[in-house]
Amino acid sequence: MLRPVDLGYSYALTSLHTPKGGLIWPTKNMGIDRHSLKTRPGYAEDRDLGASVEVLGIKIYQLKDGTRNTMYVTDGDLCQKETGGSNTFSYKTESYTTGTVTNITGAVVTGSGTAWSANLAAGDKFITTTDHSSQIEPDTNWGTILTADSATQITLTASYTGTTGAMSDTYVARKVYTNTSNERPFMAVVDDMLCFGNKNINVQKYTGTGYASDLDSTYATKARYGIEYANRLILADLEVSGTRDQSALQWSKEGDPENYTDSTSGITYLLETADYIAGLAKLGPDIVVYKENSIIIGSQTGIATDPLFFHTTRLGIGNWAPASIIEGYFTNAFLGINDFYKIDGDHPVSIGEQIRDFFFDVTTLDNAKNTVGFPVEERSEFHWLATTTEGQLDFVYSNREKKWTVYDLNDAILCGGLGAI
Amino acid sequence: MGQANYLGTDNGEVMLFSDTYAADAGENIVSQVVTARLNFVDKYPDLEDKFVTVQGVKLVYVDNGAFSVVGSVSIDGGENWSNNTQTIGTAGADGKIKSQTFSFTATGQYFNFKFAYTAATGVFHIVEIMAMINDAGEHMEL
Repeated sequence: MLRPVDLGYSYALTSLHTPKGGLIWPTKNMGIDRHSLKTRPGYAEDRDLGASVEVLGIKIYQLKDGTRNTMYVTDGDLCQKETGGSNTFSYKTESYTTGTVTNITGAVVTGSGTAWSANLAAGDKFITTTDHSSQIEPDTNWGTILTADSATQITLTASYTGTTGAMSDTYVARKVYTNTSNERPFMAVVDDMLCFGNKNINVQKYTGTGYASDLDSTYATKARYGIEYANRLILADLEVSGTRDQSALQWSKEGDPENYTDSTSGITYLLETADYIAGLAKLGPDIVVYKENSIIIGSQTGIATDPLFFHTTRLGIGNWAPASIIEGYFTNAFLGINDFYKIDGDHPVSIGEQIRDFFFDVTTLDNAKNTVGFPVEERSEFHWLATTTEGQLDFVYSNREKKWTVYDLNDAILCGGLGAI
Repeated sequence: MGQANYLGTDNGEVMLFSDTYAADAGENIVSQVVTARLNFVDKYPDLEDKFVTVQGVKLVYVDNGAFSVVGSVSIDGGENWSNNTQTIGTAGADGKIKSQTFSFTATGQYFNFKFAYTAATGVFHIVEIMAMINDAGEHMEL
């Protein structure tokens, strides 16, 4: 009798005469459930944000009054899920609405009091209010700006598809973001404010109404990483006085993610190791700063003017893939340069013995660096998406069973996250 | 206030990821298990350095519906497979643990077994695999 099915993947190189009886590739799409294997969950489309749009982040944005929204960050936009009737989603991307549109002829838009050349750029999106169904996006009338010709004229990449001719109409111009390929934006909620960003843009804030805007265009600029910790916004690997510093870690005033000049805000430079910051996470009451080859753990001091204390540094194991960090099950889990780890107390411990050989057999180090992690709490699973020689695979660690399995999802998945229902 | 797991794609789709769905946005899911190479000596030390004849494999499963399942055996590390397709389970999907034997005749020293179910409906649920084997004698090194 064989019972290989309750073992999950086993890539340990055992003697040929003492096989462990585990499962090997192409075992796929079988979830581990109470010492048995069953077809994994499937998925169904909930929202369509538009063809060729990369969905890079999904998060519940919950306010103190209990209001909850599901937010998406794409490669160009911040979106909010809308419900009721035929509503789909709305754009909350930073937008420009000053002045009025006076004429649209073909692809040329003329305005009054608009100051477009100073405020819009090629690639931004344009639509008149008359044509705009703001909660049933993507509205087909959005045009893409080819050039901001002057203060009162823009030219679109193609003829405007909505109402044209002489008019006096308000409008929305979406100032779309740019994102570096294979990087993931951060999303954090501090003091009822959704803060998000990536290395190319000023950190953005969204308060639940209107549109997103710069959080602080002087001190919160182009941060690659950000989390909420101790009721502050913690930013790392950001521009300091116009120059990127990959060792910088900056914190806001408590309860005020827009304030970086108060005596209780601050910045430090984690220079003890030569490698750069590669991610942030919360671990119980602590904050963990991941570098490529080390892990630094900090705590709150209770001192207003010196609120963070980094007391523990673990050398030799770090986070190879910035987007691989998973917070869940009272721990952190991540992909190192040669193994998967989770934090046990204040130590990283390997969890990848049964999968790492297969993972690194089919995944180059460059592709491994782009691995994306997310938890599926109801199934007690950590998921890591990676591009492999077998296509994109989802490497799944069951926290209940302490076993691995592999999912082969039918679509190219870029992120996972929790949304409100 | 509930929450659910969502996935984001490279083509603008936000997918609800849930046990409710047995397909990926309507597409089939290939549910498949492949065992590592086995020679059974962990269970039967007397089989060390012997050839073995596998006469069949009993699949123990949970009846979640009538599924067409392909059972396979390989004696060359997965290069070639002998397949046997059978319907397991019942339309009633009573959720009980049942078994079904997939018959093969394959003689060798190392074996891989595979079971695959490809569909957009149903949950293929494996509890156990039991191989029926006979000692086919010692092999002689030439």
